[in-house]
Amino acid sequence: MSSMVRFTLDGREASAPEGELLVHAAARHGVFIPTLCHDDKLDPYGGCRMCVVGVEGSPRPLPACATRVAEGMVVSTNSNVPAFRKTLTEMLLAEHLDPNPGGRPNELTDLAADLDAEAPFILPDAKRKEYEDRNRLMGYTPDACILCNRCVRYTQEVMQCSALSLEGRGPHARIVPTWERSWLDTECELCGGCLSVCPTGAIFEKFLEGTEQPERELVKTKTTCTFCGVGCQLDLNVDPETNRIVKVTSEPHYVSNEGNLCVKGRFAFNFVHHPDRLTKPMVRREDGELHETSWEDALQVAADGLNRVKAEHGPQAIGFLASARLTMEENFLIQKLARSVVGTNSIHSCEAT
Amino acid sequence: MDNLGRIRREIGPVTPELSDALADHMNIRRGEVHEVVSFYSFLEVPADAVRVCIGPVCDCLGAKDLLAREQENANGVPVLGVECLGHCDIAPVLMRGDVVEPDVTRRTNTGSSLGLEQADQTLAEYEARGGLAVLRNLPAKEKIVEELKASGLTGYGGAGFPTGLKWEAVAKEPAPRYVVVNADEGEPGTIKDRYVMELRPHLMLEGTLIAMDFAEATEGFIYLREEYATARARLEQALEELRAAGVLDGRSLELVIGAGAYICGEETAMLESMEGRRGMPRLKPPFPSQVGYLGRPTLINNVETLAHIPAILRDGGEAWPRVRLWSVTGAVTAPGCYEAPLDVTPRQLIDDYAGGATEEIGAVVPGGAASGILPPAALDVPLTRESLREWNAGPGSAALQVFPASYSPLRLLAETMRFFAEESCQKCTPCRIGNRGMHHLVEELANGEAAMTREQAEEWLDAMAATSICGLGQGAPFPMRNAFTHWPELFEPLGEPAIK
Amino acid sequence: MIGSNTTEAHPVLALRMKKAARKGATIVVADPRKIWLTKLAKRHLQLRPGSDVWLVNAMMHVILKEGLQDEEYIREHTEDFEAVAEVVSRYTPEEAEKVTGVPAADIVATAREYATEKHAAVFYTLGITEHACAVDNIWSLSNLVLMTGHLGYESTGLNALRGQNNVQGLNDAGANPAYFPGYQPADSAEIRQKFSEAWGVEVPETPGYRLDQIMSGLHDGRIRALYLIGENPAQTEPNAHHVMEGLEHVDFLITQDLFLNDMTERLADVVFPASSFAEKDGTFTNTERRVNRVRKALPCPGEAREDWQIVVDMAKAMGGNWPEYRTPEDAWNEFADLAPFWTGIRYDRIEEVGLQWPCTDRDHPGTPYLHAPSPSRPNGKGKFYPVEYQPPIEQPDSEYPFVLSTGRTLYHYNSATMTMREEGVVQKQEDPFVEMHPDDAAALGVQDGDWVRLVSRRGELEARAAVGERVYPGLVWMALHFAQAKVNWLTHDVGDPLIGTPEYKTSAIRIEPVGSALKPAAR
Repeated sequence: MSSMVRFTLDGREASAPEGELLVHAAARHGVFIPTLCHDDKLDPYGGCRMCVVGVEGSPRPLPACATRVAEGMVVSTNSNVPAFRKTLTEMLLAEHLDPNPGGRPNELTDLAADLDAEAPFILPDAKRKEYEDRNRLMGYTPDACILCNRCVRYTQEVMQCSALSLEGRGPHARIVPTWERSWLDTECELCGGCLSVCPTGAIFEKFLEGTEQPERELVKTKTTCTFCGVGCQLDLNVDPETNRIVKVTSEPHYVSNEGNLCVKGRFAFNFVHHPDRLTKPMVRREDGELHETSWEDALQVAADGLNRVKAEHGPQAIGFLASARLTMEENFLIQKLARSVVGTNSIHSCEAT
Repeated sequence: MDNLGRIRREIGPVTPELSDALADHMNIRRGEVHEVVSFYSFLEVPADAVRVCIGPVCDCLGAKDLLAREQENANGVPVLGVECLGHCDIAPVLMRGDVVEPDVTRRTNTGSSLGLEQADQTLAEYEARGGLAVLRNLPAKEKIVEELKASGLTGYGGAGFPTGLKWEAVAKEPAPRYVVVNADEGEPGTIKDRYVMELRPHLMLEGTLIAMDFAEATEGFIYLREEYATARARLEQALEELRAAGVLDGRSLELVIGAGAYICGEETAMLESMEGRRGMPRLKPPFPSQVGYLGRPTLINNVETLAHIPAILRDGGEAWPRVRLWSVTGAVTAPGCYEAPLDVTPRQLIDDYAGGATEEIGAVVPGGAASGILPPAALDVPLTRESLREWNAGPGSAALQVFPASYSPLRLLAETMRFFAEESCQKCTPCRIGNRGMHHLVEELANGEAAMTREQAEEWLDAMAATSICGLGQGAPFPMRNAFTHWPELFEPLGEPAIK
Repeated sequence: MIGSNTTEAHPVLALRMKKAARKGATIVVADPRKIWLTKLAKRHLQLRPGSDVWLVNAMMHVILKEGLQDEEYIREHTEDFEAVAEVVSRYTPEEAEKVTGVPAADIVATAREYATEKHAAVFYTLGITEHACAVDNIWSLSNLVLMTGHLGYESTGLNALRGQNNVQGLNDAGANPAYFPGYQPADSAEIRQKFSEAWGVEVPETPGYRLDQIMSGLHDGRIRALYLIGENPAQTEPNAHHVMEGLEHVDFLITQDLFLNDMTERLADVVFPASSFAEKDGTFTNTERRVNRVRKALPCPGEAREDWQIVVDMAKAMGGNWPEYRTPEDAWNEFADLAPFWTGIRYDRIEEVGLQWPCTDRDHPGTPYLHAPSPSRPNGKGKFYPVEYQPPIEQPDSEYPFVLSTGRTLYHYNSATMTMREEGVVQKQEDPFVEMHPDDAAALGVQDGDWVRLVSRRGELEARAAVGERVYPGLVWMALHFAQAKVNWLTHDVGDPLIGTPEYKTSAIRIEPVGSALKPAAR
């Protein structure tokens, strides 16, 4: 483990593990330093400069998101730092044509409200080229992008794939799927990691267009992903009016996925609401067809069927195949049904691999 | 970068398909190559395109008209307006493919350090003048540092860091170390490194090999801007001669060719570019002397700086005459590149070296875009760091640009801020947006409009100077602030200055 | 990484590997296909399907020959080492190259790197287990791990990446003929006594049928009724046409699922509308044995019921005398009370972060690494099992010249009843496809995207050719997800003699051009 170092924060004595990022060390001491381009999943970047702080001995303020605490460091967040913050916010607003696409949360406008910052003008070259994509999962509003590059860095550092590019420089810089193709024609795996790190809602889940609720009014339920065996922890965001899942999110502190999800975990939940879902029990009648029926009837038919086979052929003639899709509790009860009610150990599943 | 440059020259402009093919071939991400290709100005442009310089000197001498004429007569060949091509002594200038128009003429003087007045056509000519003697009989490291310190030599690329201290610092870092020559001369108005490379390539290479021996670096690189085709040919020839003569034995010294990005003259951006990425400056610290090329300690020096070193080590640091090359361009009779003392004044450079002004002088820029803009009142100020500090300016890359009174300071300012905005790597907010904001402000002022208050403008300039990652954004406020001071009437629509 | 296409099968876990690679970790991929991870890998051992034992035995050969084994670990924590040493002495890298196709030098280098790195881990998935020699494969990997002492501390071990969300929990819960809940052996009278007492009814002594035995029992009449929960064996089991015939014989079939499928629509006697993960409380246990909470976010649609409730209702309808289960937590507590390794895990402890079993009491912090400080066998000794190579059951021949291997893709999940209902995902992968090498495609006169017919001794299907160098000449690969082209119509059903796992990874097929780039009519 790293050792602790002492440093001074706004005139107060403070301590932190050696090498901790200043932004985290300050937060633990109750000093909130705003950031826009920083994300704990990504390497320090220091691009937006929102988090600059004064560090004694440095001719210029340093970004707290990319500066590590060292013994004896003297840090100030209250001299000219607030003025820089406000000016930098004004600058970002000056090229931020679309601050609120689709009612999604926007860290920049939140910050602007906190700092009472307004753009003196909108830059004449602020308008960016529109991007339309035939993919049905992710959308992109370039005019909401603040070029923090979190999304691109996510693809490069976390996914290590090629989906998004930071293209051009100067006023022509923009973020766009590689060579402005459809995401479907890049190496993108549609994990949606880019939109999960976007601070302004510039990249977004396309299906969000299907709800009237502002994102902040959705009800989150934390649960475990239903796909592979990694056990990603995620939040189902449900529109309380329609009782539909609107989107799936995750948080950086969730074990074991650290806020990351894959295409299935983030996007493949519509099966839950699919019109093909079975909503009534069915039994096969003499006509050879399945007919909807009551639970009482279906359970009786099922119980009679199993009891009849058991009576005629013994419990060994009944097999149970349980499922990895179900919960521990359900599988426990299924094997109990086989063993304690039917009286057979023939309970297995496709987990035989 | 090498592969992309070859694709452009040997196949054609880099298309998405070529970019992908290269990425797949190199087992790197396609998006990464896309990012790199799009960062540089020329990779997606055919090699035979016409590039018309629209840098400030060319602009004041009619570049926009030239550009319009060329575009009219294009015949299907792309015609682009590009930032300073480093040929301001023959402005207005253009490049048709690799060919410079009008014909290159070099004006220089008899100097006491570099000897540019006589070009070396071959290694033999260079050796006949005493070339390679210092390299072949190199003093001990301590002695080298001592002489460099005694000479007072500083980095002539513009930053002005004492060379002796830099060499000493790199030598203390663990091996392996690299040496990189910054030959990405792109500061508007600056033509001196081109003169050195075109006239005395072996001299610069000897300086480089001395640096490599000193740093015990077996690998060295010369990062050369793509636009310097003649310099490239001269260096390639000189390297070949040195290789044939066995001078490079046990060492590798390679040319890395840029692709059109001013910011790559910033040393960490240059390292990024050499490593095949977008030329986006790194956060500092750490400095390249500690963590440089491929993460190793790296000694980076400017072309001219290295070219002075054989003379310093030959004659001793104390005896070295403390000179540098001054590019003198614009409204002067004999624009060129002259060796002169560090404390020379603008008037001396104009009258004693460059044959006098051609028109009434309206403003001078002492040393590149970020060095400031000075009024005629400053013509007798010695161009030293110390005396220019009082004028809130600096000698930068020693590129004195002389603008006639007929060229509006507002136009000069607008062109300067546009240049910074275009060349910003975009990474940090104050540079990406600040420069565009200032450009917008100046353009609006030309229309009599106030886009923001004077106080707000000063806040923006403060944030740019203090919070930008690299010298581009940090230095961009100088010309604006100079203009506030020397041409206050232009800014009256903005209201009162901030009280500080 | 052996037999694990982690970025597609466990995409988020693969992020850890990518992160490690970025920090300088060495990755070696052993896989018949050029999977994504080979991009980050130092080396790709492109072995022939089913030749894993040769590869791993040869690695051990190198380790022992060069004295790179962990003598102290072998002495203190293992038994029967000599038997393995004797067997692997015959598995030289040079001979291994002939069988596996992996250059001997690569085997040697990998063996050295693995043996000499303190933090060296083996990860495998179904590429190791979906063979008739599944158990042999595991044993040989286990021998490798024991021999080098890479066990019982972080970033080591023999790590099975479990495929499905709760495949670990399914086993833990006792949905297995050989074990009562918590891996308590069904052949132990003591254990049966324990459960009989707990449940107030005599539990059966007769050994239960495994999956493969249940499947074969459909044909020979041993199995007369089947209760299928969330499964479609007519897609996911090998030789699926044969499975379908078996299901046609069954007297009484109950299915409990989210959707009807072509099999249940035709054959089920009773269909119970079940619940999705979003509609119930409970737990899933992930591949690191972590028990994670599942929480109800939505009501079930229509009259659909939570699966645990249906099972409770069935028990009642059949006359079972069960206690009242008000919530899934009641079932969990009954399980945890009966299963010592889980006794310490209770819902209130896993609200925020799941616990990893074994966790034997309420103060136990859970167990991140198994086999520490010594292997988890009664005598504390890891057992070496000497393994000899067995070739795959079905070899290619002149009539069926291609080796077909099967697996999963990122965009779909098992029989894809969920993912084929997500338009945005289907956009990425809609049609069945078969990966084949450009040389093979050229020989067949097939272009990328053309439809081809795959024929085995057991069935045929049509899929689009995905021509590329992911596979080597002679090998083709197809995913199991496509209902209209079930790859298991082609696979054979001779499984591992000990545990019955099917050999999904190798079958012999032939390929016929269909002669069209147009989609065939749905069948």
